[in-house]
Amino acid sequence: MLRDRVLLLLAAGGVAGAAALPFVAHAPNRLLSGVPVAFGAVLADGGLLILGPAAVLLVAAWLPARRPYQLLVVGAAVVFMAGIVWLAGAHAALLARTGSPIARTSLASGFWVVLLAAALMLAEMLHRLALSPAARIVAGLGAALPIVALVVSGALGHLSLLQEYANRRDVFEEALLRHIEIVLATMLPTLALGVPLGMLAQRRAAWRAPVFSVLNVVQTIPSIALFGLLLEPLADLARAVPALGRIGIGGIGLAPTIIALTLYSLLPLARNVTAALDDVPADVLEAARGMGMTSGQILWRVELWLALPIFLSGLRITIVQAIGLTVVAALIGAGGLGAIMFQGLFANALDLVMLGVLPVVLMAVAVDAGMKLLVSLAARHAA
Amino acid sequence: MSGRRAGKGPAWANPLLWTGAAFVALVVGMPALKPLFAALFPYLERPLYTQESFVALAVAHVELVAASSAVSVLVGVAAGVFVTQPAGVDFRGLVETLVAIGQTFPPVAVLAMAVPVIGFGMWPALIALALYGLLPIVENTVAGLEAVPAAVREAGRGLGMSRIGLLYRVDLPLAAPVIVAGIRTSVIINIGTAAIASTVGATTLGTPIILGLNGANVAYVLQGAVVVGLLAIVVDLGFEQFTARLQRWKRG
Amino acid sequence: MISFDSVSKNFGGANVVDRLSFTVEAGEFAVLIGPSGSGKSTTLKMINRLIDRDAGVIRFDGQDVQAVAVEALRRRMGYVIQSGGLFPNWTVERNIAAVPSLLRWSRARIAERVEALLHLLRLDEEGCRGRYPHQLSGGQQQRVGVARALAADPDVLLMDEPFGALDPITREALQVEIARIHAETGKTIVFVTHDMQEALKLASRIVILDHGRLVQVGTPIELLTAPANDFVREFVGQDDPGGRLLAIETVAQRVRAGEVAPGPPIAASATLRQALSAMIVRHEDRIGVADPAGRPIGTLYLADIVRR
Repeated sequence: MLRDRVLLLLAAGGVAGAAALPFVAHAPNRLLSGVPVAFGAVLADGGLLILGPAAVLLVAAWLPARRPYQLLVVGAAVVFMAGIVWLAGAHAALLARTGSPIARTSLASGFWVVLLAAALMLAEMLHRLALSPAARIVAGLGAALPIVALVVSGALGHLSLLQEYANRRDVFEEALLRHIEIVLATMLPTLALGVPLGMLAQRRAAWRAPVFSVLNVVQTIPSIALFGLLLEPLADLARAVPALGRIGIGGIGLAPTIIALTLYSLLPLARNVTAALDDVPADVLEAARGMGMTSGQILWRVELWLALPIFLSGLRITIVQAIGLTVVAALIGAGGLGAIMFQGLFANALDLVMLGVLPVVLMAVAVDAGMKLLVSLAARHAA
Repeated sequence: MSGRRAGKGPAWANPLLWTGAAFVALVVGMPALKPLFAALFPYLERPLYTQESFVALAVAHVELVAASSAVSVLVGVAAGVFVTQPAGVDFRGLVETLVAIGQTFPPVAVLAMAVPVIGFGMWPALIALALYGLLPIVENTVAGLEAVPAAVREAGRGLGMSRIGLLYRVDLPLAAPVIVAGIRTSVIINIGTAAIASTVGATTLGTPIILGLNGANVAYVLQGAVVVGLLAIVVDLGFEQFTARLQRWKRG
Repeated sequence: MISFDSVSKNFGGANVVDRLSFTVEAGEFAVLIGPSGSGKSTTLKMINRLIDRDAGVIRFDGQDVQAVAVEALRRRMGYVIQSGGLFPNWTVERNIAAVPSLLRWSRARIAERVEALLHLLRLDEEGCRGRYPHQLSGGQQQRVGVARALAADPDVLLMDEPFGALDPITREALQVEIARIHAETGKTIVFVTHDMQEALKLASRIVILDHGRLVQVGTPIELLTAPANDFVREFVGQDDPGGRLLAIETVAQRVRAGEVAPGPPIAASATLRQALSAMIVRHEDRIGVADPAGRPIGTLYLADIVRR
């Protein structure tokens, strides 16, 4: 009896992807596009072990909804995902041995579709197991561990994606560091300005509408436009005051990026600070005042803790947004992972694009999950 | 009910009217501003972007955003409705997971990844924008429909309304402000992403900006940036007034 | 009009309604009452199939409710719930017109009907017509809910603890209102409540449920004077059984026709309790009784109140 239509849909999607789309693509050199290699061919060359967990995933939709079966499916999904990653790496190694040294094997759409289908099945099972948010994050990390181990161990070294990484290691690491630097550097003025603004808007009703109207206008302007609009004034400034040019405030690069990113980050942060303070129950404040606390004491001992969960939630949204916007900043020369992505885009090299995109996504996911964990901890503390 | 307009004041003081007029004037009259840019940037050989008229660029930009948003709205609202009906409840977790994953992707990344699969031009931009635009719409449709009080639904069904009738007459109108807020977010993000779509070969208002950045022509950048910024503000104002109109009954 | 024949409903392994059988005749004001968890709301919702029964047959106007198209069935019944469930984005007028417009009545007919109902529920006096639910008081909202339920002139009115969320004064006013509407329209009403006072006041017949089973069916007086078991006795109320009886019976039932008494008369429709109260205040052992027009029709003696 079919018990789970979602799992059936995902399994069907995975099978369709594996059958119709290429698993990897093998190109004779960097410039030409790859010859597709089907899943079946890859399996034939030593991937039969995968079939075990794959079989479990295929019948998952018919299994009873009891804990032992659910855990079995979770385990199968984790093994399967690690398995196909390993398989891709092993096949690439095989092709490297038997083919030309400048030939490249890259991950193709079939691989991504199958991986995504398995990952979504895993997420669905974790959802059904009804774990707490913290447990779910730990489970997610656990699922990713085998794949991380494979990457680190070098078993995937012959895949073009990792070859690009190996070739550009220094550039990549510099870009990664730069990206993180930009996001962190943005958070300082954002917090310094956003928190007081949010508090002001919450305390003084007259300020609320104007503050959020202005911030909303800023948020509406497309990021590339704001970056562009800041270039000229900052360049003029640098020309007029050469000293500024020396510490890096010029037209291109860091200064317009951080200024623009701060402006974009102010709205989500201030809005959440306001909402968080709004949310503190009026009777709690009244009780505190009745006890004789000063407003400073009320803020530090009462409001802060009750407002923390919503504030952290806003911080989460802000940081994830900043990570994404920093990618665009590469267009005005700020560097960061966006530079690698755009380079790949202009050279029509998907591997380079992925080299830029994957770390950004992984960073965003990590921050998102980490902040959600913090929020749930803060919520429990406040309760 | 008297014909009260959403918002205070007489019709001609409506900010939407003024910003809209400014936008149209700027786009149509850009060539006339050549002397201004020449004066501001005397060191530039070409102070005005003339490869396409700004009218053409604006139209292309609006078309791209409109087309992708239309797809996002149709698919997104349908998905949101499906997932909140008994038939689709099972798929709720899956949809939420996909939305959560999508939120962590910068819109630019979706654009960049579409190219190797589809190639350069309008199509990857359209598909990327439509895909990325789904997220806020689905999320808001689900939230809006869930917020309809259960008592109202029960009363509606008890009176003899069919499920579809209830959806059409009660649920969707009540959820409309939240859904429209999602569409608004989606469209504004799309306007921004469409500006970057010129890096994948689509011709939009971002084309002069990107060209200007590559060729160190600040005038190009300024022209493109001001026009697209104004477009975004006009559209946002339009949504704001539309949303206020939807919620007129709450104030009454 | 409505009959339950050995009806059962099972939720998560337990019988919420257990082989329930009873009938509601046309024109009756039937009250379903019981402690929480007794299955009274579930029973009501099985009539208009918001919940579907697991066993047994429910008949409405002779037909098995399962055999009729569910939406057509519901449009023949009015349904009022505790929280009102008014459509917040529709005016009072449009809310009331909800079912008639579903039934595609002509605009003129709908307008006429809305007007009549606004008047029946005394909403026209308060200028509610063009307002939105959030602008009305709780009592007004419930009255609109009742008007909406009556709009398509249904055969039966189903009410699920409709006055439970209102303050005592408004609740009492609405109880008087619904009693008046019942008297004026003669509709069959099935009313769920957990408040015994309300049941005794309004019902022509009371159905007592406990853990999904029928305990006793009877008129308020039957329940007060002949409770089937201790549960009923306790539930109906141990304290002041005499007072409760007084509150139910009317003066008209015990008046001695033709005789005249001094002092202002009391209405024939007043309760014995009100009559006793008046006698005590006046230090009299008799009181004149008048008909609705004010004409004297007889006298009520204190001795007759305590007579069997």
